Amino acid sequence: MADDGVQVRAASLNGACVLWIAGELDLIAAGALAERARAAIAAVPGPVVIDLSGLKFVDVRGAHALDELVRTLPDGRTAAFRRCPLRVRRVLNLLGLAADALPARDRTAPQLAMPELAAQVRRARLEAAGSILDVSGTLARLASTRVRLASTIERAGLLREQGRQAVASSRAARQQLTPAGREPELSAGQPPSPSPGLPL
Amino acid sequence: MTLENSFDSGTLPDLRRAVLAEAVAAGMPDDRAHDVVLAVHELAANAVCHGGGAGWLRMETVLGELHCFISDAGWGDAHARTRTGNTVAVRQWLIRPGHGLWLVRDLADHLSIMSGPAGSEVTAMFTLPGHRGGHAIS
Repeated sequence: MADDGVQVRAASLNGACVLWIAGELDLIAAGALAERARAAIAAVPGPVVIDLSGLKFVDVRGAHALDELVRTLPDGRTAAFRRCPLRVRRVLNLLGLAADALPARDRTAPQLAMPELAAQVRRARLEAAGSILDVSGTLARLASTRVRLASTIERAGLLREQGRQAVASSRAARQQLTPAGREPELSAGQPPSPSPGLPL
Repeated sequence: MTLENSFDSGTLPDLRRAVLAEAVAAGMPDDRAHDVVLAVHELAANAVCHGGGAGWLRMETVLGELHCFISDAGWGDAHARTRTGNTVAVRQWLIRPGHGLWLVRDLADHLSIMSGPAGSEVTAMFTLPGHRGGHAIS
């Protein structure tokens, strides 16, 4: 293991500048990466190919340092990774970093590279599905309310009809009673007025 | 098996090697063992950067789970008083996208964090192969 965790050197290969980053790129080593990488590639012209095959470990700060490095090369130089070990690629992909610098086959699907966005989309979909459920529930409730309303109206009509019949039958009963009992009862006593004892 | 180790900014590489050996010895497959290393390293780095510069790790196997317990002493009362109580440590241990704790949350099967001005205690749990996780630690 190297004293300071990470080794950086650059060499010219077929017109490209191969930047070799090896060792363990943790938060301690990450602090010095940018400066050392810039110094190394300053002497070698051409597009930068960053060889990561010797990188044994990268942490979150290290991954951010790599991302920063490929995004901020001087003089418009471009950079791409090659021979990125699986474990390093896993960290970059989990963090959604330096995706453009990884070979296309090494990039994960967008939902893994951008977990926040994917989570938002998932949440939005769930909410939409929930809204649809809400709406269909409301519609179902509306339909059942309409059915209940119709049956209430029907019942009301029935009751009204029963009421009408009751009124009619009570009227008929009264008419039957009138000649025999009640009317004579009322008229049999003294008529309430004009009262003979009272002065008018 | 149990690993107990104190660490600071100068001993993080040694800590990673010890954690890898412990995880492999506990029966963790290679890929997952490196997840354990990364998670413990990030928690240790948090302790180094935000928890007073040093910390303590204990790793043990409990009921088919590898428990990694990381604690630090925080910044002490004097530091906490200069700011506003709990907010110092709590803010520093926030899980932000792209940050260490955020990654640890993805890597570990369970993660519990207790943090305050007097220090932090974090437990990351990894289920060993052949066991169903979730039966230890409430």
